[in-house]
Amino acid sequence: MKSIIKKINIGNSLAVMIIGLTLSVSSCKKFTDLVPNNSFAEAEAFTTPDRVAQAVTGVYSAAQAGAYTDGSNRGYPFGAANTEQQDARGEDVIAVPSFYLITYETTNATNSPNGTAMWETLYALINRANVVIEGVQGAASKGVISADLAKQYEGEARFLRALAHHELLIHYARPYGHTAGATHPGVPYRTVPVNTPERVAQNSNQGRNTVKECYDKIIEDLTYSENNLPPTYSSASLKITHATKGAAIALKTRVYLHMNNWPKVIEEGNKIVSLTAPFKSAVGSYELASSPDAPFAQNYGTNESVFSIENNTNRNSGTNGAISTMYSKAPGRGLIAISPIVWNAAFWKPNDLRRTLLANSDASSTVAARAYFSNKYRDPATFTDANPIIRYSEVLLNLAEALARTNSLDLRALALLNTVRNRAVTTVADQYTIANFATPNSLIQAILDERRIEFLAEGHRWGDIHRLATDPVFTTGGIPAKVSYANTTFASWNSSTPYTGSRSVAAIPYADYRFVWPIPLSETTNNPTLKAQQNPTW
Amino acid sequence: MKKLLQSLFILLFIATSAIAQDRTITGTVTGKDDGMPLPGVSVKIKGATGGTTTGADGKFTIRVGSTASTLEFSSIGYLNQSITISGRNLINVSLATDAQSLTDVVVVGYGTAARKDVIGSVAKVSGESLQNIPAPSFDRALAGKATGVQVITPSGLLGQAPQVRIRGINSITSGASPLYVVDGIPVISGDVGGFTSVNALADINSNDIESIEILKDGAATAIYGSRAANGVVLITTKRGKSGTQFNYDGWTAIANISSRFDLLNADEFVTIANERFTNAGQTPQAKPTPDGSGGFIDTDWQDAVFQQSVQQSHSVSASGGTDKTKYFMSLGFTDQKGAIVSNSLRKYSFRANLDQKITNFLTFGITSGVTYQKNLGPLAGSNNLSGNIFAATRMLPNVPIYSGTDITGYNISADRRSLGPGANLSPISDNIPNIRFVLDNNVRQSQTIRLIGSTYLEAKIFDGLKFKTQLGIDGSYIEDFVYTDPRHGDGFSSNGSMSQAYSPFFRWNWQNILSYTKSINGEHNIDVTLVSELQKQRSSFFQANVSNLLNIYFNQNITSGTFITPTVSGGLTLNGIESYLGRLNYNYKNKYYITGSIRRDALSSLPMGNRVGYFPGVGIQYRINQEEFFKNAESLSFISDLRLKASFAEVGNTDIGSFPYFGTYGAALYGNQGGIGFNNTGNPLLKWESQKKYDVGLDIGLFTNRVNVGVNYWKQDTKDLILAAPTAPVLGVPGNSISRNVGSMTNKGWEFSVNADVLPAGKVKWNTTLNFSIQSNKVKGLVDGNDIVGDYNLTRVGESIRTLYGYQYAGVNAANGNPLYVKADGSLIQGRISNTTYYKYDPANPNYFFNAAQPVSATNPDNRSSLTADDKVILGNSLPKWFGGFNNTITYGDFDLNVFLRFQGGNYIMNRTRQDLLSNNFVNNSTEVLGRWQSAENPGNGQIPRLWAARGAFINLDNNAVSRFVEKGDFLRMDNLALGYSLPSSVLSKGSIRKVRVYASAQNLFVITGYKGLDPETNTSGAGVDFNGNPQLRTFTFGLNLGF
Repeated sequence: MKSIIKKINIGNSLAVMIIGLTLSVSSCKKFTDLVPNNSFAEAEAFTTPDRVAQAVTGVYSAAQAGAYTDGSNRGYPFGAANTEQQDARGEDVIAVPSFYLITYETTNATNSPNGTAMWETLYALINRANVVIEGVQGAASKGVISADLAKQYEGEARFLRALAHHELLIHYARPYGHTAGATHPGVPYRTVPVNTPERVAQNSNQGRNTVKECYDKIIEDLTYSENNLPPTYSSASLKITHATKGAAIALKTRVYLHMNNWPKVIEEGNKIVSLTAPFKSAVGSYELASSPDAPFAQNYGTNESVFSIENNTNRNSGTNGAISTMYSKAPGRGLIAISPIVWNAAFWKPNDLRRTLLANSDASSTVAARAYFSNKYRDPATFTDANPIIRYSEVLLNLAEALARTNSLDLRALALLNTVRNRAVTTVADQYTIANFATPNSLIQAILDERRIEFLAEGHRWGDIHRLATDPVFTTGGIPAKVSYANTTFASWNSSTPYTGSRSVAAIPYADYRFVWPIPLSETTNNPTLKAQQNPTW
Repeated sequence: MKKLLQSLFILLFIATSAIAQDRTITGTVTGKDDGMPLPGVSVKIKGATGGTTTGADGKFTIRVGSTASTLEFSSIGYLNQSITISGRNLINVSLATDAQSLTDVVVVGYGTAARKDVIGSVAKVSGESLQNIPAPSFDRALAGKATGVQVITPSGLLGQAPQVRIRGINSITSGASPLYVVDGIPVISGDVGGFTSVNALADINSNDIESIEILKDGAATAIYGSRAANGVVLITTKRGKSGTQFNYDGWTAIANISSRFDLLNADEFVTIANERFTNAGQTPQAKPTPDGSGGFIDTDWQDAVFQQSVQQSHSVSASGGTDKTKYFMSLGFTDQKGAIVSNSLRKYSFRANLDQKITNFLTFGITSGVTYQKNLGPLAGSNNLSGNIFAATRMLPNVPIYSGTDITGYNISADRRSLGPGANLSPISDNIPNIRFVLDNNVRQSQTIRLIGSTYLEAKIFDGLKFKTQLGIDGSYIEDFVYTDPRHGDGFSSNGSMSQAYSPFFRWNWQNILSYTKSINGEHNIDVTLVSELQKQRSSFFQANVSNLLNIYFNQNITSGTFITPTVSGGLTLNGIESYLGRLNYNYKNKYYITGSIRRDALSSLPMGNRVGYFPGVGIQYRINQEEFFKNAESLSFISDLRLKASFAEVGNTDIGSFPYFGTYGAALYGNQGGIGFNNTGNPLLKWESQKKYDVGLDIGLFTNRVNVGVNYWKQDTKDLILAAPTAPVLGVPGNSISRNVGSMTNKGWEFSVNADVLPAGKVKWNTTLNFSIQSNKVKGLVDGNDIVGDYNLTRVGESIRTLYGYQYAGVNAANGNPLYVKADGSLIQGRISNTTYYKYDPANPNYFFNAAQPVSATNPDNRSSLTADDKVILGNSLPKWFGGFNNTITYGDFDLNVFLRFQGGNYIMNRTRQDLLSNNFVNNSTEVLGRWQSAENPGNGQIPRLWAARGAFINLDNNAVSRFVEKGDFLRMDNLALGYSLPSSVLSKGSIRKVRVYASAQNLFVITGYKGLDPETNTSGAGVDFNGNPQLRTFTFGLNLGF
């Protein structure tokens, strides 16, 4: 009897077991062969023309935003942060406590998030450019895309690579004029893609190139871009948000200006600036808009914008980084105000249209005015303002400065200056003629002053402080003294009387180690080569 | 057929034992504690084979021969009892429970085992000890209950998941939390909330828990192979037993926060704030705000974010069964309002567990639990402008919370960006919003539906051989929602916003278990288990974000057409693991034990070539008291149990993220332009993390196990740690890291436990349990030996993981109020606040600064210095070195008293909150600032430097650990104090009520600690940093337990 019971048990149980095991064996074939769903294998990134194009757009994506130190998107490097940090390093804005104070008061340390994020996201952009350059070259050799298209794509990537290295140089290295021949340390200029553990090992010990080497490579990259990029794309906005032949030339005028190489500025400038007014470009049809606020009122569609970084509701720098929230009065966060230092400056005429079209006080029906803010960026609600990297007015002023520095009281330089200035300074009595300039230097000074007005809130002030620090005549001496917000009242902003109030944020002389940012701690911790090449005293 | 077989069995049984019978003895077996009938008690005649068991009513009938003198009664969980027959025909017995019974059944991986046969280190926590406590989830109540198990609840926020660490932190980048297994199904745990914290384990009703077993050492965990690195927590829910039971358990609790910040009042604030401006050469901005009735406003903003709250919980359950069908069903309802404003947790949970014998060899069962959780929480980010603690501690005390002049009724600045400034000339720094408006108007909530369940079919093939197939699911359906009001706060810039996310998670797990148990002559006891296990999970989410809201009325759900700007996001992740494992247990005469197991895991997250891992484990045990010499030694008779054990295993860690080895391109939007970008560097060589676990232990039972003592020494060597190995940022590698097997680390420790029935019987009974653990952690290897540096922490070879790392403070320069620091070379420097530059400090000439405008000369020596990363030193380990619990249960007649103390220490905490509370921005401070340096004549307490508007980051070195703010974390906490009264059974036996107990208890009554922050367990980063964490709760609870 017992044996019968056993058999019955075995029969039934075996059936259960067999069903179970059969199912498990059949289903477990390749059971763990899963692949990611949110991204695809790198080997497939350059296999179709669409993907190659998207990978190139991905380089711009890295320019628009990388990861801030907490992983969030705060517009580093070029989504907005380059503008905000450069302005906050200068004296023409005020950091309304305390968001930008560390930058504003130069109390940063080696682990300060601003310097860390700028460094890390710029190099992330550079590496992505390098990876894509290799990828498009590979795609061309496999016939996925044409050789010409590959060159155009490489030109776009190299434009961004040059832009990124230049941004690094003005934050982390002394200016070109610091040593004769610019032999002092620049930053590592990286051109090798790093996308495998082996390449990490092979490329970890590259040290800092000299400043000269860096600038030479920037020019080399931009020249390649110039030679291979089209003057425009299929739409007006793409022409602004992607690198073009004109953008490469325009950026060269800026870079040569930093190299104090006036003839080259002129040579490049002449490629996109006509000899006489009205100044226009044969390449890319650039010209100034008739009104100074046009490139901001419609920042994706004027011929004045040469290159801008796109921001959109789908991707932007967010409430903690967007250019519109930082600079705009309520409902923006108004964290960066215009400083009375520039607002009250004698060279900024009271009737200048830029005071009314591109700035406003925070007064409203319920609020008494407290300060003046920039009005260049107008969408604090959804953060879609483009971040202008180069406008045509900069090219004109770059060329004007180079001309004025080359030829005594150069009339074309004056004409270029006036082209930019007179669309805002419409009072004839305030407009310049050559008679206004007693010395050659006074014309140069006027051009330099004009830059502070024209590019206010566009993040160019630090670049100028940096390059002019070693200028024998027009030196800024270092980081200028600045105004504390608490020391101002609304009466401090007065366009007819130069600001004489307290500048409680003390100037930092050029020789001071804090003039340059430190290589961030996250780098020196993981990179003995650069740890040994840290900027002095940091 | 089944009935027939059963009767045949009985016939056969009777036939074999019918030879010498001459009379029948009947009786009832009851439990000593509650007097209820005990079913299933084995009744045997001493010296004879065979016997009977009691029925559902506790009654038994047995025929005995004339030579029989004694009956033996035994049942799992009760002390055995022998009764002399002495001619009686009716024998009623009451059995006493045996809390530390060696015959106790312990749940182990893929099966159960008798306590005496368990070789591995397994801590058992009874479900009972987790109940009647107003903890929002059972895992919090595990704190202090077992050796080697550290549970830290970082704050009083109800939805927050505690950090559970079993035997230390065993990974640097990968997960460090244990594997949780509910009724055999591995389940997800941790914080699963999107916008507010949601503890996945709160989905389990603590009243449904029968027991929790925590597997710690290699012998116990190896069976879980790759998932065992951080220990395993097995949760067993209640199942039906013979006899019908109905229980009601309910409590009401009053919760308050247990400590508050000491903040400046309005007068003090005005003084301090203006001193900051004056020192900085700026115009004073703070002014008292008239309150309209002759006085001035003085607001304690903590009243706006903390409150007294009432919480309640009700749970009913019914269980019962026959010998064929057993069921357990329950319904739980919990409604907890937070003592932190806008924090609440509401929960409904259902459970139905069923076991059905189909035939005498086939059993079918279902385990099912469904829970709905609704969590509401404030924004609690350490550094968020509208984070509740961040903002509340900064709100200006000289302005009111509410204002009749604002359209919203709250005190809001005219430009709506920040707290209304009152009479102050400046608004609060950083546009911090009125926190009460934020808490009252913004919504952060999460709703979860969780299904955890399984079915099994078990077949007894023949005696000793069983096959079980079990299919389990874990489904978690989370809907997160956040609304920011357009009128003020975070939603102001975007004109209001909403985000709504849906995150379904589904896992299935299928196990086939074949087990064989055989005893040869009672000498060779063999137990073999073979298992195949497949598990796959799908985790996805999609999220809709809208801003520019048209009308604040629509703030409970995204409503079509009520907004202007929409964006959408989403993602999907799959994961699979395929496992086969075998285990062999053998013992000789219950004396010499050996266990061995091996598991083969294949994990989808690893590259094809290294996907399969083999994880072996082996353990031995020697029960010395089973030796004849021991049994015969009268002098050793006080030792009832004595065993030595040792084990070794090699396990892995599956919690390594998805596809860390895969080189990928992901979406890389550029504005509105679609792009792709390199986003992960591949590493085809990536392989399993592996950990070697060593354990030796000694268990002693004294005086028939009245006292049990356990001692364990353990060591865990983890190597090939999958590190997000940092790469130099200059290389621009995505995330500045590559997943590589490079790290190694050792954890080791001692565990001691004592469980004693100090007074085992009589009117006063006293049971005491003390557990104590000592642990240490040492990092052995990192990428190229490079430190991993965070803002406050450092992971360095030779040190404990994430040790605190920062600057050494040397007090205040009494001459000028500048902070002094010690440089790496031991020299002192001062940070000159006025120009934020460091200078060498000369005590003889404390006011000397180099004049940068003059050339360096003998009279103007260059004494500039700096404070750099190289000057940072290790300031203290962030991991506790010792911790434990001391539990006492005393019963006096019908009263019971529980006193549970918990302690921990040997660690240091970076009190970042304290650093923050000394901010020099236009915000409030803690009263600590009153000890600041004011002048050479009035230098304060020598610790707080001179004030200077907006220079707080320089003065206090914000975002760095500084010895000034690093404090010891030692504490002793009165975790639970409970007094209960049960109606005596003499009163109850008349009705059908089995049990009535009322109790009152207090949780977290006091903490003894030197820590200056809110609570030494406050932890916001997981690494010994307290950065604007929320306070802990103190609750007073009144409850009722009813049983029918």
